[in-house]
Amino acid sequence: MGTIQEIQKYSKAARIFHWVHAAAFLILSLTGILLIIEPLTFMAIGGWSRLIHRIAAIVFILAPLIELLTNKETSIAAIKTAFKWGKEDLDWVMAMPGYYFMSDETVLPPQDEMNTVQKLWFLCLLILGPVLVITGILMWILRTPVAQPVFQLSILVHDFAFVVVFLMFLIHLYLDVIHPLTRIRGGSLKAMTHGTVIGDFARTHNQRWYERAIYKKK
Amino acid sequence: MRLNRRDFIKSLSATAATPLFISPAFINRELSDDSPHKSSNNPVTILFDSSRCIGCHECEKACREWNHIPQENQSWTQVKPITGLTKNNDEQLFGKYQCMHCNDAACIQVCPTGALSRRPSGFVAYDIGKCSGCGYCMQFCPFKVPFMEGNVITGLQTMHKCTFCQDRIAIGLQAACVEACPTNALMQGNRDDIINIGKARIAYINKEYPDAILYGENELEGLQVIYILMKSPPLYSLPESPEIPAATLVWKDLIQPLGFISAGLLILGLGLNYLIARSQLGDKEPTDNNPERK
Repeated sequence: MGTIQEIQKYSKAARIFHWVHAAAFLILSLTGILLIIEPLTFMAIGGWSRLIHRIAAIVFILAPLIELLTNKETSIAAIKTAFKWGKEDLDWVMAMPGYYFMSDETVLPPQDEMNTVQKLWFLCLLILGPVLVITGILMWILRTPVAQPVFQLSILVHDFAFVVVFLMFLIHLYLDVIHPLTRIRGGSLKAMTHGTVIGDFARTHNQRWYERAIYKKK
Repeated sequence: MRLNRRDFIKSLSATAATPLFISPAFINRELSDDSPHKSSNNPVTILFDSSRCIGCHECEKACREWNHIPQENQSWTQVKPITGLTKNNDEQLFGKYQCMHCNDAACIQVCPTGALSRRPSGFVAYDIGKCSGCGYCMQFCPFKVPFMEGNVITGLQTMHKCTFCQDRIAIGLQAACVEACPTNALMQGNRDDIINIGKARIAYINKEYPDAILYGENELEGLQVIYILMKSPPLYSLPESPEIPAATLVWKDLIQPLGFISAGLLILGLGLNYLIARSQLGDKEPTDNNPERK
C-alpha cells in the first residue's frame, strides 16, 4: 500500500468546535495564569482579566455541550472509547520510545480512529474539564465568606486540575504541531485545519480505522 | 514614587496638619518609617472591651463618616448584639467586628496582586488600586472580615475592610471608632500598655465571669485589635483558636511551585525529545510517506 491518499478525519463542525474550544482554553489559561506568575499579576488588577476569564468560561462550557447535542452519536461513541483501555494501549506505550525518540512510525501497533495518546488527552479533558467547570462555578458564585472551606477546596482543585490539563496541553501542542515527525507529515494538525489526513499517516497511526476507511471506499 | 509619597506624608505630619486636611485619600498609604508611632514590637493597638459596650453604634457612625462610607455600603466596623448572650444582670452583650490586623495574616499570603501588605507599624493595609477583586482574602480570613463590593456576575469587584485609620494614627490621632466611643469600650495605646490594661480588666471581670478572656494577645502571633470577651469566643462567633487554613494553602505553597517545576521539566524534556527525534529522522530518508512528494 504505498499510495498516498487523503482520508477525511474531522468534519467541519468538529473542527470549528475544536478551535473554538481551544481558543477558550487558551484565553482561560492565560487569564488564570496571571494570578500565579508574580511579574504578571499586575495585569489582574481591576478585575478585567476575571471578566474575560468568565466570558471564555461560558464558551468553554457551551461549546462541548453544543457539540454533544448536535453530534450525539459520534460524541457518545467517542466518549465510550475514551474509557476503554486494553492491551493495545499497552502496546502503544511500549512503542512510544521508538516512535517519539527514534522517529520510527513502523513500530506503532494498529489502533482505531483514536489512538492511545489521543484517547488519553481526550479522557483527560473529559474528566478534568468538568472538574474545572464545577470548581470554577463555585468560585464564581461564592462571593461571600459563607462557605469558606468550599471555596478553599475549589481553588485547590481548580489549580491542580489546571496544572495537569496545561501540562497535557503542552504535550498535545508539541506532538501535533512541533514534533519533527509531525512537521514533515502534516498529521493531526492537517486533520484539524483541513479535515483530512494523509493515507500513510492514518495507516501507521490509526491502522484499524484506516483499513475500514479503505474498505468502505472500495 | 514610594519615596515621594513617604516624604509627602512626612511633610504633612511635620507641619502638624490638622485632621481636616487629612482626607481618606491617604488611606492605604505607607506610614512614615520614622513616625513616632512606629514600633514593630510595641505597635499601636486597639482594645475592645465587650463588658463596656452598650451597642450605641457611635463607632460605626464615626467610621462611616471618617472613611466616607455611604449608608448603603457595609461599614468597615460593625457592632452586633450577641444573640442569647447577656451579662449577669441581663444586660445585652455586644461584639464589635472589624479587621483584626493579624500579625500572621492569611489575607496577605493569598493576595495575588500584593494589594494587601503589612506596614512597618504592624497593621494590615490594603491598596485598593491594586485589588483584583479575586476575593481570596475574604475566603481565607479566619474572621471572615474582608468583603467585596461591585458586580457579582462580572466579578468587577473590590475588597473593603478596616484600614486601622492609618491616616489618623500616623499623625498621632486615635482611630475614628476609638475617639467616638462614649463608654471607653474602645481604647488605643501601645501594645504593652493595652495588654496590661486588658489583663488587669480580665482579672477584675473574672470574679463574676470565670470564662472571660483576653483575646488576641497570642492568636495568629498577636492581633492588633484585642478583645475583652465575657464568655468564650465561639459565643461571639469568633474562632476559639484562629489559624491560617494550612491544608488549603497547599494550593499556593505546593501545587503552584510543583506546577512550575513540572512545566519546566516537561518543556526541557520535550526540547530534548525534539533534538533526538530530529537527528534520528535525519538518518532516515523519508520514504514515500513524505507528503511533499506528490
